[in-house]
Amino acid sequence: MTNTQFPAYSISISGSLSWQLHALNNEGNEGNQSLTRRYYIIQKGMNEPESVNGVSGDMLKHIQAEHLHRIAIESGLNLSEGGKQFNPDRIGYDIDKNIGIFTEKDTDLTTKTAKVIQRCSISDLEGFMVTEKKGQTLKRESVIEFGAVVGLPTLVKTQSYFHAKYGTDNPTPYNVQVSSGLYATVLNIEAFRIGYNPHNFNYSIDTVERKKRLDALLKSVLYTYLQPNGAKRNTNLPHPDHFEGVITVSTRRCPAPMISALEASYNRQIHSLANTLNNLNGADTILCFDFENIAEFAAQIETLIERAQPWESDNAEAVE
Amino acid sequence: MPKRLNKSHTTQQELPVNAKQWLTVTYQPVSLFSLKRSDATSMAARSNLVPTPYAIKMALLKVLLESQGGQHQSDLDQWIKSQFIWIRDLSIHIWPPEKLVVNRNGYKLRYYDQTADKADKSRSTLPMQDGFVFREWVYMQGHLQICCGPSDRLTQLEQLFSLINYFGKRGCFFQYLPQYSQQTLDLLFQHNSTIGFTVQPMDDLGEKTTFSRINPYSTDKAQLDKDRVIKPGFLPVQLTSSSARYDIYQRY
Repeated sequence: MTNTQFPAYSISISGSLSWQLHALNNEGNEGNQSLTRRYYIIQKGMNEPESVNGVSGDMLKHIQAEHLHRIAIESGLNLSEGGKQFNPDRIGYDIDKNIGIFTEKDTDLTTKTAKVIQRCSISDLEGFMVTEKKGQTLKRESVIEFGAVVGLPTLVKTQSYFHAKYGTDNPTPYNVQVSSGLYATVLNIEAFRIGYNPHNFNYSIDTVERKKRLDALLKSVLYTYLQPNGAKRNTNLPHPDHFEGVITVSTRRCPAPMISALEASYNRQIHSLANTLNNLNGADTILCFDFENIAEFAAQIETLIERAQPWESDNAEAVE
Repeated sequence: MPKRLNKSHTTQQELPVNAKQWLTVTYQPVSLFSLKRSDATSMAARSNLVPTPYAIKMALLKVLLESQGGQHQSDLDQWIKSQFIWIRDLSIHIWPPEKLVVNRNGYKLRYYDQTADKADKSRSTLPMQDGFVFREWVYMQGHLQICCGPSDRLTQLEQLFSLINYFGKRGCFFQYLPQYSQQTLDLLFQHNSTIGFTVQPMDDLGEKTTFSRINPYSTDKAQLDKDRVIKPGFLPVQLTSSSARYDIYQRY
């Protein structure tokens, strides 16, 4: 493969990820016992469900958004006040506080959405929704989506550990569930929607700005897997020690294929799907970037940052 | 009505011998699936077991607008009106995967107190309520098949299905499998409901609804039972085991 650039319509990651000793996502408490998130799944040829530890996609999205916030500030991307403060309402905070986003002339959704996209990278990439009584709802769907992270049966172990809090009065005993093992993770980035205004079918920011946002997004995805900042990490910092899988990129209008690592043959299936889609839609419609460990994953993200350009029109072709 | 019968007979004859009227597409579930029932009033509520015709048609409209809307900017209203009609009129049948596990997960939510007036800008903070809710996530084992028609636009329909990668809540990914697509003269699968079935309310677009009614950006309002109709759907699955945390369904 040569080092030429290619347009990225959609980017998917399917992989199996190893996290050791984490309590990233909890479902509440029973007495002094914290309970971890669990999913029941059923595998081919099995009749009994298997209970596995998991982390919700919402949690991963939050971790990723936190990294993106720091990257956006560091790289000087446009941010609204809400965006700068990492306010959960993002641009909604500015609108609520009347921080001069819209003028009286801005009445239609096309203009309003364009202004939001130009003003706030985080609102553009992570989505937002502002509802108004009697008014039209201003909203945007996130460019990045995470599936739930599900443990591989027999390869994930959850145990309960005893701790005690010593205050000035009473020591309080409590138990925390901590998990280790191999997890299946999937995510999808709709790169073509970065800066895209669905009301006029055009982009509200230029290609240079779109590329900056794509790079920031890719970097935040890398950091999400390097440093998963979920719950209880002050005392149960997760150890990410392995990540293998495949990043797929589609260069034409076609979703980048993904299969969960809960399927043992997921990697082979993705490559086979990529071949089929390349036969159907033209050579190099789907590009696959395999990785065997975290270092290779980081190197592949670096490759994407160097070579992937945000996709723009139906005429865009792969230039391999 | 002899005249009408005659007309439909002529149309049948004009079709080429190998005319295909139904399209069946296959998806591999990638992630956990969740789609709140459309008649739910609670924040969490139960999930549908499979995507409903309404969710599928909305997914089709989304990819249609994204992929072709830009080429019709000058005649957008006219174009989407005609496209909407053929998508609205599709009859959609769903063949669930072999096994389904419905997970009931607990979530701790903090949400705005709905009884307090949010419009009161003089308040420095908005009152929040603590809540603990259940949300259902469905793990699917096997392929999900969708058969829809009758239509003479199967090529376009297949193209649109190939662009979809999630149904229901965002992040509920499904991988389209191009090699399994089939065009047939008749509906590909028909469940014999005398064996047994599970009822799931299936919401669909109303027969006479318009694009502007279901467009969330439009000021036209959709009415339940007119623009969005909820009919009982009979799924060929049976509940094989159940507990406080999960239900397992198996296809007949």
